[in-house]
Amino acid sequence: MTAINTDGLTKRFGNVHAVDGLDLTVEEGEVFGFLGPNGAGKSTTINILLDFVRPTSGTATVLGHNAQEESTAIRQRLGVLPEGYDLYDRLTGREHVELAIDLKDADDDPDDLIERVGLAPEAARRGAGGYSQGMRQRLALGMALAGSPDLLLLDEPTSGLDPNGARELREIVLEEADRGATIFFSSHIMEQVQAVCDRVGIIDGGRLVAVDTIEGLRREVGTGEQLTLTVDAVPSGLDIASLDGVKNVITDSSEISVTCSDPAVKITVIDHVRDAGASIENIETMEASLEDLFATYTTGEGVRA
Amino acid sequence: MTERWLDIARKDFHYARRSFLVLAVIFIFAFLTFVIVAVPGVIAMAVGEEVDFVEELFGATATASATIVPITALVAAYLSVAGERQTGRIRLLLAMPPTRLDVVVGKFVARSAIIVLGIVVAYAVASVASLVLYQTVPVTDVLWTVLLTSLLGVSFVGIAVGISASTGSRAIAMAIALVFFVLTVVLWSPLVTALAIVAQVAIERTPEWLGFIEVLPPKAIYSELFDSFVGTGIGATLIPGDGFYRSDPFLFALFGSWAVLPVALGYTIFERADLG
Repeated sequence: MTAINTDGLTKRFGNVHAVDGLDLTVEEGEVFGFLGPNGAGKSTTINILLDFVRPTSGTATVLGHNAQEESTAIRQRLGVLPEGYDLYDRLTGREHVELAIDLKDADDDPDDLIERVGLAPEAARRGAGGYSQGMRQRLALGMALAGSPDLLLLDEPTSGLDPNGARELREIVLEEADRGATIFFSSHIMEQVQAVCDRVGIIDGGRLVAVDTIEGLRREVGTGEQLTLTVDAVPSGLDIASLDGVKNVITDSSEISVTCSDPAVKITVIDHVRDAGASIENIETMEASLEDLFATYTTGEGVRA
Repeated sequence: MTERWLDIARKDFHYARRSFLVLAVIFIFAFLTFVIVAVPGVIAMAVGEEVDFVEELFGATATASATIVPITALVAAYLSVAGERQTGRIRLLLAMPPTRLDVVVGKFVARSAIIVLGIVVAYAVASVASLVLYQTVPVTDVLWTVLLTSLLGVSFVGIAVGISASTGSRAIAMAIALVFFVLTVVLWSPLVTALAIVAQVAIERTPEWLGFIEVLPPKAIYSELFDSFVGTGIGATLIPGDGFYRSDPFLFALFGSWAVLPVALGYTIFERADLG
C-alpha cells in the first residue's frame, strides 16, 4: 500500500500555481525526502495532505484515505511537525505533550516522549512561551511522536535546530523508520535529507522535477567535479553554461562555481573567464555534491550564468 | 475515549484560567452585582431608612448585565478561533485528530462555561451580601436572573465565536464584534424609536412588524423575558404588541438561535477556509 499518493494535484492561489499537476507516490515504510527551494510548493502540498488547504483539482490520498473527505481518519494515524505552527505560551511543554496524547487517544508516557526528543525535564515544566526555537521544534516533534503514528509528516523539521539537534532528529527519524513508520521529510537543504532518506523527490515551481534514490541521484551527479573560481569581478556576458561538459553554473559577486561532468573542461572554463576580462584570484576544485545537483534541478537556489 | 471537542474545551478553559481570563470575568461580574446590591442598601441603612427594595436592587443588576454581559462575552470570545488562526496554533491542533467542528464547538463550550461561571459566582456573592445586609434573598428572582443572564452571555459567546470562526484576522474579528455590539446593544432601541417616529409622521400609525424588529436582538429578548419572569421592569418595550413574537416560548427559541446560528454560520465559513 502507498502511504501518500497525489494524482494531478493542483492548487491555484489567484493566478499563481503553488502546486501544478503534482504526481507523487510515497510507499509505506520508506523515508522520503521532499526537497525544494522555499516557495516551490512543498508547504502547500503538505497543507493539502493535512486538509488545511483544499486543492483546485486533482486528488490526494494518505494511508489509503482521501485527504479531503477522510481527514480525521488520516490524522488519527499521523504524526505531524507542521511548519508555521505556534505553541500555547502559558501551557507547559509537558501539557502540550499531554494534549497530543489525549487528542490522539494514545497511551504514551509524556515524560518518555519528552526525554526522547531531548527536552530537559525542568524545561518541560515551564511555559512554552519562554522556549527557544530549538526547544519549540523538539516539543512539537514530541507531540508528533505521540501515538506511534504510521506516517510522520515533518515539514522543515531541522529549522531552528543546532547541528546537534539536527543529528538527534535524524536518529529519531531512523528509529521511527525501524519501527515501520513511513517518514515524509521536507527540507530546502539537500544535506538534511540525504543522510536519512531512501528516496528524494525534488519539487520546483509546483512540479516534481526529479524522483530518485539517493544512490540514483549520486549516479546522476556522476564523477563530476565542482570548480570554484574567486575573481576580482564576475564579467558580464560570460557564457560558460553552454560549454560541453559543463552541467551547472552558479555565480555571486566574486565567485563562479561550475559543475563539470568532464574534468577536461576545467581549463576551458578558466580560459573563458580570463578571456572575458576577469582576473582569477583563487582556484578550488571539489567533487560535485548532491547539493549542486539539487541546484541544477531548481532555479530558485542558484543563478544559471 | 473522550470526545475531542471536550478535550479542546477543557484545554481552552484551563488555558483561560491560566491567562486570568476566568478570574477577570468573575471579578467584573461579581464586583458589579455586589456594588449594585450592597451599596444603595448600606447608604439607606446609614441614613436610617428601612431597606424594602431588595428586589429592585437585584432588578438593577439585570439592567447593568444587559450591557456588561454582552461586552464581556464578546471580549472573552472574539479571538477564540481567529486568534488561533493568526498565531498558527490552529496548525498544531488541526494536525492532530480534531476536526474544525471540534475546535469551534470546544471553544464555544469553554467560553460559555467561563461566562456562566462568572454569572453564577456573581449572584452567589450578591445573594450572600443580601442575606448578610438585609437578611433576605429574593430566591426565585435571583434564579430567573441567573438563568436569563446566562442565556444572554451564552448567546453573545455564540455570536463572538461565530464571528471569530469566520475570519483569520484578529482586527476584522474585533471590528465585526464592535459593530455588532454598538448596533444591537447601544443603538437598536434609538433606531427603532426613530423608525416609529418616521412611521407616525408618514403613515400615522406604528406598523406591527416594528414590534418584531424591536425584540430581535439578544439584549431586547433578555429585557422582555426579564419583565415576563422577574417583572421588575428593566426597559420595557416601546412598541406595544401581543403578537406571537412577544410570547415567552418564541423569545426563548430566538434566544437559543442567537447562540447556535452564529456558531453554525461561522463554522461553515471556517470549514471552507484555506488555512495556508
